[in-house]
Amino acid sequence: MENSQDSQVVTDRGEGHLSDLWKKEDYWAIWLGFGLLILGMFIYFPLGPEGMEESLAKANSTLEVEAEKAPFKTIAWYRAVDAKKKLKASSSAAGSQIKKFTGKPHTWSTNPLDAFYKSEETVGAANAQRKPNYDEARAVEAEALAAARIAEKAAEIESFGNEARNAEAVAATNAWRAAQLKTSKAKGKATAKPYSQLPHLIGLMIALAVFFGVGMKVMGKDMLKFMGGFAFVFGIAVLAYLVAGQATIKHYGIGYAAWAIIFGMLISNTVGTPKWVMPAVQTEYFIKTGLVLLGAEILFGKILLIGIPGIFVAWIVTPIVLLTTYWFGQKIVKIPSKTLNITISADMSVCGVSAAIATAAACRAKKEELTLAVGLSLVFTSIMMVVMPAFIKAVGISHVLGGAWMGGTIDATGAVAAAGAFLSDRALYVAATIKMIQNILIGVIAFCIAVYWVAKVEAVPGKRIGAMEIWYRFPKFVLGFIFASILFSIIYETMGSDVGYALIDHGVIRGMSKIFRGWFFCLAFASIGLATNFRELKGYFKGGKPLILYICGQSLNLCLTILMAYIMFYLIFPEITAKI
Amino acid sequence: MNEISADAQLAPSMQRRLFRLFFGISLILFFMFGIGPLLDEMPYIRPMVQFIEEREIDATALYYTESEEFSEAAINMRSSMDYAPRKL
Repeated sequence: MENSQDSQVVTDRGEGHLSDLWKKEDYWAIWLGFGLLILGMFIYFPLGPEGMEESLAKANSTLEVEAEKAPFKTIAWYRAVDAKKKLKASSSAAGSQIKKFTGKPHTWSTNPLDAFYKSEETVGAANAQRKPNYDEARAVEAEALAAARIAEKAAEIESFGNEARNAEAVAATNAWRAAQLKTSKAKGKATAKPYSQLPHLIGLMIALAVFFGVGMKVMGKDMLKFMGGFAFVFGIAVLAYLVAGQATIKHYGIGYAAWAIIFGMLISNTVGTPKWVMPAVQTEYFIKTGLVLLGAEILFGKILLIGIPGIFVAWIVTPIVLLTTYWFGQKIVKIPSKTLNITISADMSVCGVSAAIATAAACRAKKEELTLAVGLSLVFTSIMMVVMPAFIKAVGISHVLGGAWMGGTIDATGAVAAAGAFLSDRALYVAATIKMIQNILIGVIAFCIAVYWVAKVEAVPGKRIGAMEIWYRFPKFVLGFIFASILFSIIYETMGSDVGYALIDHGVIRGMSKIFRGWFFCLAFASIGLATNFRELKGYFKGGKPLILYICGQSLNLCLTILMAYIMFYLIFPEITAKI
Repeated sequence: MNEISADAQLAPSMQRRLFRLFFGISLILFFMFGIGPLLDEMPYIRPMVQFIEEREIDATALYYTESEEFSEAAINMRSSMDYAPRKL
């Protein structure tokens, strides 16, 4: 048995105590995260919309009939899918209250106060102004629906054997769907509700301060000092959400993560982070708790959404790009820090900021390294979001292929949605599905990196590490993260995808865990900013190596993804492509 | 005398730090209300900007559960696979 001077290097020590369960931060992240998940299940599982089973049975029956009837998706087919979409546990009274209490600042344009407060009079005047647009959209939709019905009837009269009539029916139905979407958006703008956010934000701040403070107290830290400083960190988080919600900023996909770091760093590198705030600057505590919640959103059943093509593009190409980029960074670019290398490789190849967070936590990367990876990802995301759809249109790449390409390469999920939808709904569906399958990969990657890092990277060269030592050094919150994923995946598959959509997707996840997870990550990034010295950050960028790594890795990603997508969607599984 | 010169050294330092803080805030505001809107009007960027506004897409979403479009895409994709129209 050796004693190492360096706490980052693993040696055979065999330490671990039962008291770790309430004294260690990793375990508190698990207790707090699971506490929220269990609460979410208690709230939402009994809240299935009234008559849900009957509605689902009716909709599925209609889908079966319509699928047999015509060689294209009919109006009744789409209506049945729309009926299923409306079944959400988060639309219940409890869900609305949770959303209201935990809501972040609203979108605003020129007046930041609009993010926190809009009176009934102001909203009423705006609604009245937008009503004519809504009425017009409804009229256009009604016309488009009438035209689609006529075209479908004409095709039906010829028993759907006339290809020209079928094509006309498809075009008319697509026009109706586009008009329907416009009406839906116009309705949202014309029926806005007043809000007053500040009291809820103050209440949320106090609730979260107590929520995290309890863990701090039991771990032997000063709860009151933590709660005092927490108000400041929460304030930075609110500021980050405020700026991220500004209309122009939203166009470029620069989200709360970047702004929380920027504002935190602005304070720490100018006037300095006040000493009384430091007890609340708990980056790892917030991130680990957020990651346990994120685990519940990793539903393994979703990898089969688009069949084998999706698995190959998202789960075969992605690890190849990740490992190749990491090797490239180690051997060719010679990035000095392995943790920086793997964090950038993961965020570029998988899914941006969320992958960077999970990877950085799993390999215990420095906060400056996470900051750099996030910054690189966001810059290139903004560029690719604009350039890729334009390129795909200019070159004439098919929308299924283009969608798969964008989904597999654009880092940020929101940017994928924008780029995919900009091309077409078909491109959006493929892009979003591929990106979703990549999102699911985070769980596996975080686990594998954690094991590899403890067993190999942090080990004394030449020394064999025992299984127990790997267990003691393993970041335990990753187990909570994986367990949450496995548990919710099993529950989801047991319920079936329709009920799972209503109670888990749009219940426990979107109605609860996702909301808190966003706040926890924002608090974590604010903490990173408040504790980061800009000069230290600059040092990690020396020689431009991280940028070179990112560009080379992303270039490989772009080439490999489009090649695999073409092979899968057009050469091997064209029948799946035809269904989309 | 030494106390006065020490105080004199401290005061400009805090002033400089405050200046840097406000300068940083000003840069952010300049991007938000100056450069950003100008970029929005550029020919290659404008169509995407208008589209994001019309569709109210949250381009800042970090994970698929934060995007309504992903929810729509998932249910549409699943329905397309499970109930694909005949003769395809």
